[in-house]
Amino acid sequence: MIQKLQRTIAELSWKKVLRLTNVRIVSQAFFFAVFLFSVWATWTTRLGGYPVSRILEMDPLVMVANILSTGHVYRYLGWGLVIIVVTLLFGRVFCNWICPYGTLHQFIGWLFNVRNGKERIDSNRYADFYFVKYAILTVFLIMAFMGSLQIGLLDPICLMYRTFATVVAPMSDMGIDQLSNGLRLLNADTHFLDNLKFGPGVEERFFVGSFWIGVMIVFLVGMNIVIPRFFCRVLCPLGAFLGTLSRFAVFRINRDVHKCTDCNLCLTRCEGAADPQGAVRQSECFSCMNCIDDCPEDALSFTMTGLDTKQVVASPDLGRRRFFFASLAGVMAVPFVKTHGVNVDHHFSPELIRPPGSVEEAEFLKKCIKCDQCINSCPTNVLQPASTHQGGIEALWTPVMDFRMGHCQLKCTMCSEVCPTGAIRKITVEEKMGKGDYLEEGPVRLGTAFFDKGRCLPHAMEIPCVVCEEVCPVSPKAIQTKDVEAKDVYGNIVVLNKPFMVPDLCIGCGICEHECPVKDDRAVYVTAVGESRSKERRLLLRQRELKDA
Amino acid sequence: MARAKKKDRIFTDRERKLFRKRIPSTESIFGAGFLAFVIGMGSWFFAQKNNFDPSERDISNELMVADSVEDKLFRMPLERWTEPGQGGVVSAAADTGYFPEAILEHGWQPSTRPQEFVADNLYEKINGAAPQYIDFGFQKLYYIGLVQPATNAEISIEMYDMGEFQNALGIFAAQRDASRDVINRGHAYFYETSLGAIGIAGTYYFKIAGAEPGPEIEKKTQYLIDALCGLKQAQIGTPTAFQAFAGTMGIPFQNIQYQRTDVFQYDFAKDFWFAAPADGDGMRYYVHETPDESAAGDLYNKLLENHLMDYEQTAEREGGVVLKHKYLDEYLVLEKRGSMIYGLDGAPSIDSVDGSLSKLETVIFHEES
Amino acid sequence: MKKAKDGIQHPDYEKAPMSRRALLGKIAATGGIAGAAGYAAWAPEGAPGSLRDTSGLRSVPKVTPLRLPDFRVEKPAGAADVGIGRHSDPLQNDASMLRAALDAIGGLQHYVKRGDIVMVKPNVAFDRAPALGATSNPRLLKELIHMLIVDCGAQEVRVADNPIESPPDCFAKSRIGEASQTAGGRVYLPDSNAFKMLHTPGAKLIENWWFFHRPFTNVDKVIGLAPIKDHNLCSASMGMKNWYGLLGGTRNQFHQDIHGIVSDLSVMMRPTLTILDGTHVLMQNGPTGGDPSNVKMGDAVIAAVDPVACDAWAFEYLLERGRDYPSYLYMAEEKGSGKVDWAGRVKEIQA
Repeated sequence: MIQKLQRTIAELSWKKVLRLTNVRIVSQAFFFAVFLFSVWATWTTRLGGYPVSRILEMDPLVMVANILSTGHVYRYLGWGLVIIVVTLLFGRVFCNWICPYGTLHQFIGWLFNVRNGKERIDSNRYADFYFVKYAILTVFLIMAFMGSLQIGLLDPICLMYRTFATVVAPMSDMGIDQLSNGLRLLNADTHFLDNLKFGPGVEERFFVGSFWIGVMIVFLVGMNIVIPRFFCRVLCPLGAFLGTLSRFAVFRINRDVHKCTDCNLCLTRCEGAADPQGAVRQSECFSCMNCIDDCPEDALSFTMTGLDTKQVVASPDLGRRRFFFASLAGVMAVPFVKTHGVNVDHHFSPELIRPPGSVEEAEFLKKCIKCDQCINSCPTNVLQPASTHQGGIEALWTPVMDFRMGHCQLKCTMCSEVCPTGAIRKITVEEKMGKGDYLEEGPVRLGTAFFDKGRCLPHAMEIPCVVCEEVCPVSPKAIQTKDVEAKDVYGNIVVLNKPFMVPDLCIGCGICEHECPVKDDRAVYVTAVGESRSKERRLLLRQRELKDA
Repeated sequence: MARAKKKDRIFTDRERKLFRKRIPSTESIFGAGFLAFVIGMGSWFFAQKNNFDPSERDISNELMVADSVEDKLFRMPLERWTEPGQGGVVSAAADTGYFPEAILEHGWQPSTRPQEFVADNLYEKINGAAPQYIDFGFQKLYYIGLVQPATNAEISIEMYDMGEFQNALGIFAAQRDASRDVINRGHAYFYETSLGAIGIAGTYYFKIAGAEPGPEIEKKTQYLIDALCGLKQAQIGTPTAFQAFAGTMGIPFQNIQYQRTDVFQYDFAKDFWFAAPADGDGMRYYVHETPDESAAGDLYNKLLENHLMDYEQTAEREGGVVLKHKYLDEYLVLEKRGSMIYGLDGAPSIDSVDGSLSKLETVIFHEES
Repeated sequence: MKKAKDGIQHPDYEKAPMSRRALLGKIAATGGIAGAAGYAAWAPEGAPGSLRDTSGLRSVPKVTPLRLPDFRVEKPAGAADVGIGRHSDPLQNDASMLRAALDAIGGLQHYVKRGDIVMVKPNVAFDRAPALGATSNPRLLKELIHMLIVDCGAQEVRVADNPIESPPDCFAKSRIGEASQTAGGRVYLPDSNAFKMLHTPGAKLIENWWFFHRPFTNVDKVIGLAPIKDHNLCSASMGMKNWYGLLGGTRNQFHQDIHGIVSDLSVMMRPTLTILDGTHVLMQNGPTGGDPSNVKMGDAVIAAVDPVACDAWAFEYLLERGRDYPSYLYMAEEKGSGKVDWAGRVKEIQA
């Protein structure tokens, strides 16, 4: 063992160490670590000034789709240009050098790959159905242009953030809790384990419906065993977008046909199924550089000079016919989902309560990429990925507030801080509370609370309660009580503080709903009507003024 | 069991191989440069930690003060429970508080909650009169309003717990309308007013007042006095001496006095009751109860010794002496029996002394005459 | 059995005769396993190794509840039960007011000995700035921890609360987290595994209830550090109501009997000391507050060995609500937690 190690060190040459594939692995590890750190640091006590959403903001598809849907570039979305420029220089390097989702796929695919040489080579040949990603991209971009941003469903960065926020983080926290419970039985100090948790210092977090997000990633990652890099080759709209750009790339893989012996060894580890053994498919190539290492004849190189213009397929394999049908699907898709009519101003779910700072719903759907960074950042667990129930298919996995899980904390603006696209606009506490410069506009209202007097303990059952009034955070309180003496069925005279709403003061934070002891179907609940982001979903004509007593 | 086949591996068993022979120098240069770039990028990322404005995550206190909203909401007063069919009259299901439930007899209902006041908030109820009560040892005021729905008659009870009977007597004497006679019934001593009655019962000083005069009010007043006498403090509060004077001997109420200190101008003599019978011609009875017989003996000797400075002894009695003032034509009797010190003073002649004393003894020792 | 024709067998057919020994072995093994399983399944419940569960209740998991010790310490002779430190300028002098208050009850050193592990329970229920009076005063906490560590030589000072809002935010915004860390205290946040079942004999509503136990492991002394706040339902939230923040579970049910629960809390927790911050008094809109107009500047810091008396005093003098004390104080007195009547047991010191 030691001898082997010594031999390895002896054979070590800087050239070998610094070869492209090694550097690539470092790069992948680095970006994966940055991604993990970003998810970890997206927490109220850790955030500081870390650009935790920067990987999302660098995602050029997010930028382009947002430009198509809104016509503008929000805050840091311009960072997408970096990747575009890199792609125009080096091709789809993003996929195999940066993308954390790509890294995950490659790692899992490598770890469980038990194919022999021949099978390996065959599994990395280009297949016709790899065109599907371009169709998906076409559909999504046309939908974005028509006002419904859906790229987040399959964009790998969004998918990765979403999965980690709603599935991996809570699962990992659960595991660490078990571990520290066990260690504490041995009288160990388990404070250090808190640092490993994604949501330290709070009780277990739950994400309603995250099962399906988990199923999705298990399926997509598991598919690597059947088809290597299945997601990247077949589904990834970002890959498709970068593939489209990479035809203009300066650098690419070039095969020297004079040296090549057609041994096909270059296919052994080809990540992108880019046919390096033949006419290299420039739009499919991830620039993983494996083929260069695998070529015993030194026939392959990553270069900008002496390119063989014959041995290349530059543009994506999406013929006119396929493009036509994809476009047709895209054009039809938006009216199709809009006509569904579950998230329009005439008819919207009372549960469609957006986080504070959210733009008006139609704009929101143009901006939200379902990355769920907001959900990850939320310290009270109130933000949940929407099911189709709240906002239809269009709003699947967008953030909604479920006040049974938590409440919107009065002085917290975390979600608005981490949102990469401005679906939740960056607001300050000052703006949220309607103080200072925002006195005119008043506070941000998420909705309005109502009482279900048939379930409320003091109203319906003559039992004292009013937790809702106690926790109402605004001053003066939006929940007031009418104090009534009553004789209950047992003949006792009880004083009931019967709560009622003052809608002018309610900001829809939902702490009343969260703390209501009628736990399943709350006696006080917040619905979306009255939200300040929308004129159409307004409730009150005007806020009444406080009179001098 | 079948051996694990080669194909039945879980993980890949392939080592990483390098087949190419030539690695261009540009690649190494790029590699080194890229690693440096990655390190730079990482450093930049972590340097962002505190690159934010912390005030954005909270709101400044100055701003909160500047845009403070004062709570001026209208708040509805407590809505009282009304018994069904009572025409909006508050009934608290016989919630009479401290008062006995008997005050609700004959279809009367509380028209207010039972209220209680202590020294600190007594002025809320009676404003400027409060200090006088407090000086007399006021403890607590119980208040309740009553209404008879059938006749719409209303009446209110103020009951001041003065802590001790003597205090109640004090405030009663101070506030009494001297033109009206004091009536004794049960433990209560009171006089009637046009709207009700004012009096004492035990440690209580009470005022019963109707809204306007009428037969229901008169009837109710009498009834209420009896009801109040049923309270514990009313029963235990009246001292024996007072009961003897005012009750059995029928001495007018205004002639009964209580002296807390400096009796006969002696600082050692305390807590004496005095009563002047209407036909006594200036003569007063006095009674004092000591804790036990030896204390009575001590006090007796002390009193006698001091009295002898002003008086001279004229006769001996069983258990006591008769003294005559050195300069005035007045007689004083000092008697001791058991733990009681009693006697009379200011008697104009020695002839009436025996008769008067035996009257007193009959009453306080329950003797057959 | 008839032999195969010509005695030729199929080449893949291999006949394996069973020996008597093997058969007996198999029978013994089967019998042993069946017997053991039968015993485990059918033996009466009390028998050793029996798994039988006739009622179906034996399999219900049993929680072994914990008990909390009584943390009270006898006050030194001649010390008052309730100490009050006063100063006309409380904002700058709260630290010396705290020292004065503690001196009046005999000094902190009397209560906390060298090497003690001390748990300090502030009220951090909401994410409010300290000036809004809804949470404990971080300056007092800092001074208290400093005194505990430097003056008394405490081994460890722990700070913990289970807020209504998000714990990390509440500890950050109320500056309690920062104050405890700079002073050398250790913050415990209520995460999922911080709660255990606590058994409190004599408490009616919370005889067995989930309790924020993690910071209480091996604790020697407990000090409550509470603000004085208005509370709609129970009139005032002070030192005793502060212990509410150690409950877990569905504690919002307790509003159905608020006086019962607060007096129960006084049984559950018999603290070494109760310290009340009378510098920022939340006079209305409590217990959340949220507006500076709700806060009155007071001039007292109170330290007490009797949690009932100090609440009563604060109710009367700082909340200015007269002697119509909330009934939980009387209920707590009945449960032996202290005495409402503070007359003659209070000592004031000008800081």
